[in-house]
Amino acid sequence: MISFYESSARERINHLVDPNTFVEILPPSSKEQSPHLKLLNIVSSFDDGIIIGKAKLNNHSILIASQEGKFMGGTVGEVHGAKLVGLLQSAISCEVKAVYLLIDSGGVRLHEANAGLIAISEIMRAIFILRNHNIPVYAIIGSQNGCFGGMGIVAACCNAVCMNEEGRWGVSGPEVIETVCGVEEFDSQDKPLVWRTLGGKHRYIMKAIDIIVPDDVNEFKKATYTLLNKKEEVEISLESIKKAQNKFKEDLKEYKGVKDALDIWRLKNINKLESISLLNNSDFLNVVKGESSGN
Amino acid sequence: MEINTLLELLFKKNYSIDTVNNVVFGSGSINKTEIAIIGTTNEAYIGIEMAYSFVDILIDIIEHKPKIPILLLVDTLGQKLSHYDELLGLNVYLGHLAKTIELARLKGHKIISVVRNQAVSGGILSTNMLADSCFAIKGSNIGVMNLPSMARITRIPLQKLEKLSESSPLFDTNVENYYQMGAINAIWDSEKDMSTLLLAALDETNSDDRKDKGFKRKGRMKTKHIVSSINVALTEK
Repeated sequence: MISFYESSARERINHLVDPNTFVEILPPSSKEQSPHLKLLNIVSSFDDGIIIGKAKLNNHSILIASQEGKFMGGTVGEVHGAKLVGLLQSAISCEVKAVYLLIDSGGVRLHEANAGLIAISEIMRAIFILRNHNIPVYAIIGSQNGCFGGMGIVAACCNAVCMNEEGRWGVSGPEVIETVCGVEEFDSQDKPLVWRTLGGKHRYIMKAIDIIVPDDVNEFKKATYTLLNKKEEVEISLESIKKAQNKFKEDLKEYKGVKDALDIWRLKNINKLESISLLNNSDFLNVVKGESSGN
Repeated sequence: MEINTLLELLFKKNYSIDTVNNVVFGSGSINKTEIAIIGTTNEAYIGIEMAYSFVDILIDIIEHKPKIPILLLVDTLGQKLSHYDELLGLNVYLGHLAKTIELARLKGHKIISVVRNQAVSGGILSTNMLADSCFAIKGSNIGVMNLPSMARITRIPLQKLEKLSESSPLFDTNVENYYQMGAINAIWDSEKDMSTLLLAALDETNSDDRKDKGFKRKGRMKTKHIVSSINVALTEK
């Protein structure tokens, strides 16, 4: 078993796609690095922390991007963001079956703040345009930096999200909330609290994600195949928006003022809720019997 | 600029709005063109409840006022920072809000936005920045955070950020930076005839050309080039 959580951006791509099919666009040798970081005396990276390209997945043409969390937390600066925008904007003329985003990011790179914010907005628009052209975009979240800030919103704009238990997905990370609002609001050092608030299991219970897998690259690979065969409507429709809005209406009523994920799980009548964090993936799925999220 | 000041400049007396929990909604008209108004006020932090209310109003516009232009007037200091909102999935609520704005566009509504005061981070990504045309009132702010906060988190001395901001549009939250980088179509001030400018924006096409504008205005020199080289590399047979 190889851990997805511990794999680098390049390893993750190589584990998921068909062998020897990945063609990287703007590889490190093209030296497209951030022109801004050197002004701050920060050593830049030849790929600006993201790998993009085309590949085959189960013999279908796809585009794929993978963020490298070890370089500046996988954050989105101008070049990093432009690589994502360029990849997404090329998908229609490439006639690919889907685009996969392997996210490992804290969101906007503060060292290029305004350029990062605009890039995230361009990424969101590009995803919507693909959906309107019937090309689905899938987010895979299972790496060490999780998926936060603007990238947290980007993932929610995709057709479906797949996570492992170890991945974390939100907008503001626990450290940010603790710094601004105090430790009593969110104790970022309380790892069990962080995981049951933002981790894959809670997101699955809340029906925010479609698939949860064990932290094994082969399980992620199977999940990418499952997503490829997803039959649901790709385009955003009034019906899907109204359905989601109704779900949120119920959630806001049902879980108003809850203090902890455990309160929500209890209200959902989940058995053995104290042991949820200890269950392996298949036992967890048996306990919660989730349904599809319908993005 | 106060919301009513802006609305009077745009619509004279021909508008009406309600405000519930800092969410503003209503409509206005210019020369018989009816425009739906939706926004937030008091520098609202956008949390799950607010995102939900915002979507409710948008659905109502889509269902009952087909194809009328929508004016987004969001005033926000960003997404709400709270354990509860994250627990219930603020990420998904903000994505849902963004998707609903896209749905409105798909259904034929022209989306115009004006930043009149504060436009920060997750709050503005999921609203105003998704418009077909974004405008900003002179003196308002757009960005991720102010320079002192940025200095604290990045551990870059504030003086250095201030010095760099004299020549780089990356850091400071003034709207001129966003104009230069292509994310704002034009900066408006009360000297201008805003009604005419708004009507003119309704006729513009809605492709996302921010990278071209950012290049032309010398604010984002890399993006356009990188996007087109990827396009060339991926589409050559």
